This record gives sequence, structure tokens and C-alpha cells, in this order.
Amino acid sequence: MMIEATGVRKSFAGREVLRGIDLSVPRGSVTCVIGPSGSGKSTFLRCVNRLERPDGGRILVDGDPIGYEPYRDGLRELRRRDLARQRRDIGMVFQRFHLFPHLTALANVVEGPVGAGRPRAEATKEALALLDRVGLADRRDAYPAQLSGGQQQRVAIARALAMRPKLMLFDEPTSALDPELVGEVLDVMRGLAADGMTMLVVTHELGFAREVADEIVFFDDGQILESGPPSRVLTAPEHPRTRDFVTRVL
Amino acid sequence: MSAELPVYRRRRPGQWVLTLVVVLLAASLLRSLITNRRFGWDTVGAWLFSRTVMTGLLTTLELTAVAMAIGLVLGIALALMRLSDNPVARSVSWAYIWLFRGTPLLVQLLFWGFISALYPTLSLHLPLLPAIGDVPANSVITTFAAALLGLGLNEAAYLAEIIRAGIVSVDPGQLEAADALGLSRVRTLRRIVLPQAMRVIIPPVGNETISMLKTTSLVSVLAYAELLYSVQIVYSRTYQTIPLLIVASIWYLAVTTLLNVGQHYLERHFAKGGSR
Repeated sequence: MMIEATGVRKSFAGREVLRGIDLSVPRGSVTCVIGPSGSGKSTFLRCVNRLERPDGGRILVDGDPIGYEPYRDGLRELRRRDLARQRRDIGMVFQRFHLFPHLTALANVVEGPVGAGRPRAEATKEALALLDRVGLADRRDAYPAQLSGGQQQRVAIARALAMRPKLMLFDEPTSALDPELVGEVLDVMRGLAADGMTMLVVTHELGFAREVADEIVFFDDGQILESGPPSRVLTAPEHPRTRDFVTRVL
Repeated sequence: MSAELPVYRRRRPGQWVLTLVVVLLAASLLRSLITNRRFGWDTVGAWLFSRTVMTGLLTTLELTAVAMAIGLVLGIALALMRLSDNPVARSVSWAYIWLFRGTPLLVQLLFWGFISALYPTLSLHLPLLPAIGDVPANSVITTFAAALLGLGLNEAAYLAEIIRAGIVSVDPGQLEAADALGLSRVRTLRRIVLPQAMRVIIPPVGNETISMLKTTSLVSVLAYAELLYSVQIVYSRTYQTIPLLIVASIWYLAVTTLLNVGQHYLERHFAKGGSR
């Protein structure tokens, strides 16, 4: 398993946002998380690379507990430096891109690998190949403000891939885009899935989910109500709330 | 709408009246500058590039540069301490800023100048360790050192708050992106946060630098010959007070102008990638 989450809990200011999430993502598979807004999908995703610190439960990525190291007969919290090392293996794409605005597209992609100690020449070569892969080789010297939303998100994907992650997290990657720009980002993600990348995707694009996902997980009010292959969850949902959500979004 | 209709420029009579008033006032000021012999322009000319004034000017520039450098290094450290998770670091930074912003710079300068009255010798006593160093205070804290300590330590308190405001102004999403990439804390600060904070930090720091240039004149209370004290020495001998104050003012204005130009280019540099 690439991700094994058990009993993940998280509260914000007394409000329980995650009430015991159990979720497994097999290596090389694509899992799409769907559900109404406020149901805890994004919070769970952010727990996987510990941008959010869960209050309870645990998350293993590729067998390692995220944010902890073995200590005596149990675990203890990692130093920031070691947590950073864990995060390098987990790519993350944000809803609002969060590209570094003072760096060019190329410099955005190069920053991570160089920060991890890879030689700049090698990182640049690989970054150019990645920009080419997301169809933006000709915009390497553009600053984020000079790119469209779809182009920015594609650079953000290249930036995450530059760390050679074994897992990619997508947090509503197309929700901040104009409708006509959604396709170009989904195309890049389809390509990644086809190449066998393990992906956990929070999305409202049910068409994409149906086509690409191996597993659909439906979140509601901090819990997983239903999960399974798209053919079941999207076409013949068991739970009335899932049915309600799917018909409303489609 | 209708491209054929002629479009007339609106007349602005107020602008013409204001221009006339300003021209008249400027002319009368210019006339007095030329005809009032007590300005002593020949004396100004004689002293403007004199050795005394040049030495004073260099000292002022040196004090400004070194005090701002001390202030910036210490200010960054204080700002980071203030924003740190560590409650001890936060409290130390808070107390430092409270003390150095809360007392007049003039008093701080005098304290450093008269430090030997408080501590005739300097040594460091830590519990369980022998005392480190035991030197006369006046040999370590010379007048120059006292001036720099006074100006630099005070400036650090103000710059700390300016830098903190700049750091806080950076979108939290930038930190999340850096965290998700696994960048180290130092690299995140140096490569991601500070370059973006600069756009907020530079204008007030430019202000502070220009302010520092003129604040160095307070050092004259320590009888240290920066620009103002240098001309004061001269006019206390020759009684040409006004012309020599004009000499000092001309140099303060000239350096301020240069600093403005420098700030313009710095701002342009850090506006890279900006859409605003």
C-alpha cells in the first residue's frame, strides 16, 4: 500500500472535521475523493503530507508513519528537517497553485530539487523535460503572473514532479480555473495516471473521476460514507446521500 | 458612440492660477537668496569641499552605513525571534523592542558614551565559570563604538518591526508550497519568504536609511565629528553660522537624493514577477 490511513481524526476549534478516516491507496492506483464542501476531504489530503497535524489515528506512506519516527517502544514526532525529507517523496498540487511569484516557471520547477541538494545543471535539465511534458517548454522564462490559470497549474504539477515523488496529492486542482482551462490540467493528470503514478485526488470533476479513478471515496461530514470502483459509487451508489450528491453534481 | 462629433478639452483655470502663485513665490524666494548677503554664498562655496567638511561627511556616511547594517542584521534576527514558536525567543525580542523603542535615542547615545561611569571595566561573569576578559570599558567602547552601538541597536528595534510586517504580509500558501516541496526552513526564508517580503520592507527601510543619515547628527553630543558637528566646530570659531549650516544641508540633501535613486532601483529589482 502506498497510503494506509487508520482512524484519522482532526478538530478545528472544537469542531470535528475528520472523525476516524480509514483509507488505503494501493501503489500505482488513482483514488478520487469526492463529497460536499466542508466534508473534510481537503483536510484529510493535507494530513497525508502533514500540512495539517492529525489529532489522532495514523498515516503510513510507503510503510513509514508520516511525521513520526520509532522511539523506544513507540513513536515520537520528527524533527522538521526529517519531516521535510518525508515530504519530498510526496508531491502536492494546490487548488490555488501557490507558485512562487518572484521566480520564473523554470525556476519554480528547479527550486525543490536544488533545495534537496541535487546539482543545479541536472535539475534544470530535468525541469525543462518536465515543462515540456506539461506542454509549457516555450513558457519557461514567464513569471506566474504572465501565465493563465491552467498554465500555472501545469507548472505547479511540474514543480511537484521535479521531486520525483512516489505519491501525488491533488487538492481540487481545477476548482480555481475558468471552465475552458480545466481540460488542459486534467489531460496532464490523465497522462500521469497512465504512467502509473499513485495519485490521491480531491475533485469535483466526476467525469474525470469516472474515467481515471480505480477507487472513488465519498466523504460526508468527516466520515467515509461509501467507497468502491466508479462503476459502483458513481453509477449505482448505495447510500442515499451519495446518490443525492452524484445527481446534483453531474 | 459618435466618432464624428468634435471632442473639446476641458479648461482647468485653477491649474493656471496655482501655477502663477507658485511662480511668483519661487521668484521672490530666489530674489532673496541672491540679494540677501547674509546667506554668505561665497562662504558656502569656500567651505563646501573643504577638508573639514569632507571628513565630516565621510564620517556621517560611515556611521549611517554601519549603523543600518547592524540594525538590519539584528532586526532580521529579532523579527524571526518575534515570529518563532519558541516562547523564550519571542519574549526576548519583545523586551528588546520595548526597551529600545521606549527610550529616547539621545539618552541611549549618552548611556553608551558614559558607559565607563557605569562599568569601568568589562568582563563577563557566568555562573560556575571564571570571568571572561577584564578590560577598561573606554578602550573597547570608543566614541565611534558608542555612536554605532547607540544608533545600530536602536535602529534594530524599528527595523525588526518593519521586517516582521514584511514577513507576515507573504501569502501563507507560499509557506505551504515550500513545506510541501520539503524545503528547509533557512532556504524557505532566504529563497521564498524574504524576496517577497522585500516589496513591503524596502520603502520603509529606505525611509529609515534617510532618517538615519540625519539622525547621525545626534552623535555630536558625544563630541564625535560627523557632518553637523564638523560645521559646528567651524562656525563656533568663525561665527558664520548660517552659511555653514547651509553647507551641511546641501550635503544632507545630496546624499538623500542619491539614496532615493538607489531605493528606486532596489524596488524595481524586487518587483520582479509582480502584477501590481
